[in-house]
Amino acid sequence: MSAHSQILLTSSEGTEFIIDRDIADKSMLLKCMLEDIGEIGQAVPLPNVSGPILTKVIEYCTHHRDDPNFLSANDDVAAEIDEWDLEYCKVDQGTLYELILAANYLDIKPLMDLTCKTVANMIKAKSPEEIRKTFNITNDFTPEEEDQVRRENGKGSRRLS
Amino acid sequence: MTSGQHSHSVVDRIPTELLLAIGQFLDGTSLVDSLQVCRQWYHTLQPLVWFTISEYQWHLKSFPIQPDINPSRDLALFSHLPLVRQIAWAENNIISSKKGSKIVLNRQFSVARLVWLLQRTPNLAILSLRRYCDGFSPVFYQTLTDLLNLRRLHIQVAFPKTRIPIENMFSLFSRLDELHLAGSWYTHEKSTEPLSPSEKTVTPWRLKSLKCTRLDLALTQYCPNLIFFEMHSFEHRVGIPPVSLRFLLKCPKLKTVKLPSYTRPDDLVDMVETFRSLKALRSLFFNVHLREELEFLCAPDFRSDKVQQSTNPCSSSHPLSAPEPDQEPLSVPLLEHLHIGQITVGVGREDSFRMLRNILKTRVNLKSFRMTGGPIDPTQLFAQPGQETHDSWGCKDLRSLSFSLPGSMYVRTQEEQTLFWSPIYRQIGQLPKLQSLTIICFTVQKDKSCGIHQLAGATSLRWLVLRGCEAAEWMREEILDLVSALPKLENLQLKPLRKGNFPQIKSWLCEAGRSDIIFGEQWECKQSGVDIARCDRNDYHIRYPDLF
Repeated sequence: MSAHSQILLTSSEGTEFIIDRDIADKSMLLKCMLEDIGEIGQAVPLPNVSGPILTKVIEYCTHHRDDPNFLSANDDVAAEIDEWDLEYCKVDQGTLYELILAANYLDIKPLMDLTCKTVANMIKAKSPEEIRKTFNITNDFTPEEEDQVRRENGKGSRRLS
Repeated sequence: MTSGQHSHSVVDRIPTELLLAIGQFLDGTSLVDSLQVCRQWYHTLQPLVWFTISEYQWHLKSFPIQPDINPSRDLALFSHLPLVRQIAWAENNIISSKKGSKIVLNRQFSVARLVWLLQRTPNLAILSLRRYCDGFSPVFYQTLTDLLNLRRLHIQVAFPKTRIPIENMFSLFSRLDELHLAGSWYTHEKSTEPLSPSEKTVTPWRLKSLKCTRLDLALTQYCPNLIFFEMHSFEHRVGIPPVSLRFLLKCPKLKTVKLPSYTRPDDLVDMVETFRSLKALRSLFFNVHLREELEFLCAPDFRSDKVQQSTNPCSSSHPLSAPEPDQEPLSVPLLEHLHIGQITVGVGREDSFRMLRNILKTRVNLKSFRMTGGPIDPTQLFAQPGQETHDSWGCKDLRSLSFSLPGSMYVRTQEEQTLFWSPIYRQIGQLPKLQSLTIICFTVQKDKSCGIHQLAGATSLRWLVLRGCEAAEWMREEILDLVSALPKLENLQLKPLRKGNFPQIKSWLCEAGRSDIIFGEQWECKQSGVDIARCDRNDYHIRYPDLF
């Protein structure tokens, strides 16, 4: 099959996207599908991914198109996020979550790791109350439960030392 | 929030497995804080507490695993142990000698207990072991090879009672992604020799990252997937035959090679030939002891007119360093990160200075450059007055620059100081992408303004470290100009060995409205990881000085 073949995708709203095969292959879901059934010449429907999110996902895969270590990218939890990726993740929380869901659904591990890491960085070095505020979460512990959780785990910093 | 559909919280709609995925990137402190957020987070993230057992956790009173084996009590652990992914274990005397550690070592976990644990953690992926006396028994190493999901192993065992043939570990090594070998717990039966043709069918190892001694260099021939290779800086065993770096040619994907030994043993040969052939090489750390190595560094990454002009007088001896325009070999790797330790060749000679300058003139892809050792004078990297255009740096994308000035220079008068510092600051001021600058100098005095305002062009600077200037006095205008020109500055260290005017500088920073800049000792604190909360917040910033 030619390296320049193209794939047609449709987002949840029915918007059509034409992308090169090698970009589609960054998604394990699409890659396996295309390998299994061959190129059917029809659009591949992605009912779980909206147009704007798909655009964003394609942007990521296109940027990392020639990255030789795309899949073997180290799963080093502490690894530094590179500059382009950092800029890429400067989106609102809602978009970020949708990106995680899309990366999960399309099975693009590096994007999944990047977006999860970005959310994790928003959690780091915050108190439980600050985390709730950042993510708009209601504290649904009863006072007794909260007390118990705190006693079980102690203050984070104390546990580390 | 961009659209109406995200106007309320979305995180609690995130499926549990995604929260779990996010949780994997949380470290101990943040993880524990996250447990206290709400019920969903608690129940989802709780198992992650079992993911990691650090070297210190063994010694905490709340650590659920006790040092002694107690069948009935251990029963409660069994459901949790399959969750363990990462274990670090070290002998007590190693942990306690760690600087700044306040841990009370009230427990001693025996090797038997460790084996007990390792036999019950089938999903263990990362293991770090440090032991300095007695070593481990052959049975222990067998336990390691039984860990089928292990991906990273750091093992350092000094002064063992018995040694095992390293070949016994090959079945484990072949499954790993990362291996750090240290100590004298193993012997090489035959794996220091090149593979014979009949052995070439051996299954290639997965290994992507390897740190070992030069005696283990031959292991790299099993590792076609290697991306990172580092050689330990110690391990001086006399009387071994020369070891060829050519083993690395079996690793065409190598991106980073670090050979940081303080003085390179003469028995490491074929260096330049090897570097030239590694097409994927981007990061390199080594000491320059031979003229051809310096020539290799100043050779151009690719053809450019500027390069053709800079023929150097000694290049005729080497066919690759004076290329013809049309047969320029692209065999010189496109280095992005270069760290030179010592340069012991051509000290004080003008032609070696020229070559040194050519490194930065011609290696346009450099993103970080460090020169940490002597005895060659790094001020020669900077274009001297009158040579600004000719010696202008080509590496405009430099992000990180670090060098130390040798201790043999005494510059006293105002004029001498300006002459010394001005070319340095002028050149650095032309690097708009530079984020981190470290200059360590021991004997250059600085008590008057000497052109630091020229740094203003380096507008991306976030870390600025000028360390070790004797009797450095900074002036108000200097500081105010500096911080107003560098809006992104986060860390500033102007540290003299003796007296300085720290309190004044601090007040000037406030005056400039930049009290957010981390200054002086605070910075040290952060460096050593004492201020954990801060470190976390600036997680990736903290890595910048060491872009490698």
